[in-house]
Amino acid sequence: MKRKGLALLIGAAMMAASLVGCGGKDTGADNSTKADNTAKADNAENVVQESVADSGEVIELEFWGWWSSEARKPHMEEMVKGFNESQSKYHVTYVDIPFGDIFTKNIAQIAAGKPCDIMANNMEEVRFRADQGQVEPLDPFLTDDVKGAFYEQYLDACTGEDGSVYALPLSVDTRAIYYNKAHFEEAGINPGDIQTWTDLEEAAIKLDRKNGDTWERIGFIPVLGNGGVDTWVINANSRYGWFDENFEPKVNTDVNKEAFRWIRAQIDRYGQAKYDELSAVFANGMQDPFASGVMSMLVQTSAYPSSLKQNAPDLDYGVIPLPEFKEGTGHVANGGGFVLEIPKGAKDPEGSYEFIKYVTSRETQDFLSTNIGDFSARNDFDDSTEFMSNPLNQDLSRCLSETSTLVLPNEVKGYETVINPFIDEGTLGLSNTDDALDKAQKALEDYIKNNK
Amino acid sequence: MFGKLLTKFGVKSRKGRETAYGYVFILPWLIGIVCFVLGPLVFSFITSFADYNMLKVNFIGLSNYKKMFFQDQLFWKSLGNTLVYSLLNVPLVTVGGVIVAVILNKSIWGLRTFRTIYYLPSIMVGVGTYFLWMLLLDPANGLVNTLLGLIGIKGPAWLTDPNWTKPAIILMHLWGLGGQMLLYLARLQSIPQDYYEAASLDGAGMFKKFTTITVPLLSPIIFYNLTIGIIGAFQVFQEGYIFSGDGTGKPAGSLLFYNLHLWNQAFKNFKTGYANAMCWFLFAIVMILTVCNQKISKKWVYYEEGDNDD
Amino acid sequence: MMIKQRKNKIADIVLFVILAVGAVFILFPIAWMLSTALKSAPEVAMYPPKLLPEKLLLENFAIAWSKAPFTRYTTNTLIIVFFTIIGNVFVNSFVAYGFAKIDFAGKKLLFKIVLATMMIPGFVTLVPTYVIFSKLRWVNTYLPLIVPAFCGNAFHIFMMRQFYRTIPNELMEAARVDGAGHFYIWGKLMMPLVKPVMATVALISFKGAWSDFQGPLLYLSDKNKYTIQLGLQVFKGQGYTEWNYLMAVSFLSMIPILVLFFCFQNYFIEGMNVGGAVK
Repeated sequence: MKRKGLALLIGAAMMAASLVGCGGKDTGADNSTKADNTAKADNAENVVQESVADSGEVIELEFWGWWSSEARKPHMEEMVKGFNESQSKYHVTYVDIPFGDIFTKNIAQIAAGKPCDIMANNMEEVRFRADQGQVEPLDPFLTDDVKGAFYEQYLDACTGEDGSVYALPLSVDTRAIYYNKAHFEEAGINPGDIQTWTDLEEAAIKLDRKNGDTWERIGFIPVLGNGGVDTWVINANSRYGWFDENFEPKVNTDVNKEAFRWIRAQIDRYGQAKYDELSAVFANGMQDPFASGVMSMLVQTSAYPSSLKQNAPDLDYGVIPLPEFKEGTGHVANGGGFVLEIPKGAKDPEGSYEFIKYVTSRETQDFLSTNIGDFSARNDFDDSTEFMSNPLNQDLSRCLSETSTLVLPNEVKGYETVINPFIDEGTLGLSNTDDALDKAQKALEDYIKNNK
Repeated sequence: MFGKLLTKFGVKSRKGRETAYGYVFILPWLIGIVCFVLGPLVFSFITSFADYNMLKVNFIGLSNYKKMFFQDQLFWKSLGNTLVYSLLNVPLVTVGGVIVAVILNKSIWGLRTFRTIYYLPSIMVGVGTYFLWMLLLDPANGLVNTLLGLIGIKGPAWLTDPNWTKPAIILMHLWGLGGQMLLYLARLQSIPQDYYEAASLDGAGMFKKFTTITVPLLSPIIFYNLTIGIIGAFQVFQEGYIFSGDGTGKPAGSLLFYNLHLWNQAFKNFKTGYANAMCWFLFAIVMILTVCNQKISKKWVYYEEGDNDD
Repeated sequence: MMIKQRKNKIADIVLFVILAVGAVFILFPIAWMLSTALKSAPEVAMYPPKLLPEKLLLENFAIAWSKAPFTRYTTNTLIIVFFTIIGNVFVNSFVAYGFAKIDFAGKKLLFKIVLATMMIPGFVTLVPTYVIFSKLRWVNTYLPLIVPAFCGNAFHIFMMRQFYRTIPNELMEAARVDGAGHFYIWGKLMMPLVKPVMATVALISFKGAWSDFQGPLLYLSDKNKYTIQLGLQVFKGQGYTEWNYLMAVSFLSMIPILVLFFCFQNYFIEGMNVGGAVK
């Protein structure tokens, strides 16, 4: 008697569970049906809204970004206000969510069929997200004049493998070497003289200051700050570092080996212990040896000035582009950027596009550059704008022109987790750098093979 | 009153009535499981047999499991990392927690203040705490190495030497041992002093009293902490994620724990079906360990209510 | 006898010293937290870092608090915490009693399921659970954060069950002889006995809800519904973080739990007075 009761109860539980589960499953089972269903459900609300819109009601849109700080948020909100005031059909609200977590939340909402309307996201993975079906194409609304306003390589990054454009560039960044002007003057170095890796090394040696056994001043360590082994390998190869033009793994080439050996030599000049100490400092992100005057040169992104403004407002510094590996290989830096895109299932893609068009227009881009300090991907800026009148920005902008934006095919996604442990062995002195690269090459080949 | 209701429905046998009462008592939990937990669990299990990226489901049979065991180099590495970490962490934290609690049970001057101080780490939650520890573990200037230097030991490069990253995390957990004290003290304080006095009269020393009175009476709570300790250690994630900065478990992948690898697969590579497969494998391992733990517990856990029929 | 007393005194002193040394070690991170909170931004970034700031910027606390509506966030967090505690304390005590003291068919299996639910890593159910709450239209309310507290929590159920099992059965049987049903036994006999454990559950729930970040992040969209942990994000800029303000607010948000613990310590730890009830 009681066993039957128990069996009944468990059976009921299973049924209830599968019903709930089915609800969840259907959300994923058929992408188009789900999108249709939720689109229908939301459109049912919107139909009311839209028919009223024709008679003057406004469509509410949500724009997600991560700019929450006092330095940036007010400007984003002002920009949104500008859009709202420039037309009467749409009303956008800016929602700020922490960087990193915002992407998790976005995915959860797309899966539930209720995403935000415009999403800021990274440029390097637009193609990947398009392939996964997470973004709406902009093609139905995109016009040639809008398309043509951006540097080709950035628009290319925003294009999916099927040729449709899925996002527009919001801002771009690059890397450069920041240097301490006072140190340079003292050592008698002219920044313009640093053109090749060798020049850089010579300058670093001149800037080093050692007191007995302790280092008082570090000239330069290439793989601290925002520079990694990949940065220098990309520079040495003038484009992709670990892959060739056909995206075959080319980790242990002679060029890469030479580059890594050079990096190792720089670390050895200061000793493994000193490098470990400094890399731990950069890892926790609280202290800044460059801002404290302990380091003379440092690789950082183009967003670094805002950090320096907070941490070292009186520091006198400048930038130089990354040097050339050998004369003629180019001052190539690796960079990326952020885009605005429309998550899959957004209720009014046309409205979302209008907002994106507004934000990426020349006027708004100029406004954002001047107030937030990010660089634009537009190709119609010259030195006449307020932002560009700052020589620092001019220098950084010059670096931008030789920046390589890495967009790798979707099959190799996740490759960093595979090769980084081996590269680390090289920088931590656990392995000879040539061996480290050989091991990484093998691992990467296996990884790609298994992922096919 | 409820009893009368049962009689009206014809449930008269003791076993029947006990069962009815039992289900009423566990009803809130049952409802929660059915409504919020079972669905996602079943869904997660089913999609572990599929290529699922949170939007589209594409069934591929056992491919995910095959890939896990035979094709994913990082799978074994991450499993190894988690195992090593758990083996170090669980015994230290379990034993340490008991010792700290027992010490904080003695009546010494300033006990209340000490207890508050030792409990402090548990309430320092949030991401800020990890960054503070990164400061402390700084090889050159951090307080940990400075202290070690005072007694003549040259501290390692905690967070940059792959061999020392896991001990760094365990050190952080040892700092938080006071958190377990609440449960132990709640039990310790109801152990009658007569027991200890009687033992003293029989000539038992401090250690003997500890092992024959304190530990057995505490054993149900120790068992609880041990069980959730094992479960927790195998699910370690946050420390690996934050200390390695970019989520790849650096340096040299030493912090790539199983859950971190899982997370990368689910949320960075959108291979959620594969992540689900990894998840259920972990579940299987932890389940086996917990069952073993339970079986062994019959030998040393003592319940005052009578039998240990776990 | 005298030697024994002296031995005890020495043992006490040794214990005190050990505890004191440990306490200093424990306080280090908190010292750094305060130190960072009192520094100016350039000082935080200075390398090598110094423990004592040049100037103690006490105003950092006030400035940090005003950078976001933290008072409102505190109220919100208190609301969530209040309901979570009520749910957790009473429901878990109720359910655990069932698992500990009632012999019902299927108990062993169901309890194994309780344990099993603790072993599933949270992320893979993250998205499906979100979908469920989204379909229930509970997103952007406090419901997804509060309702689960009324449905039992495996850890607390397990823990309370262990405590229940340290209570001898004679107690219950005496009551049953007198004709008491389980509800009476739970409400009038057991609850008073496990008060310290319930207080512990309350404290742990408080801590959990107070510091929960992922739940509010996923389910709350309106800024004015935010909790303190979410509010801390205002200090994270792009590429740099205002550590001094972040530490200041983090420190302030620790104070309620600390005060709670210090004042009610004895209550939490008093021990289940089983001895008194039996004898």
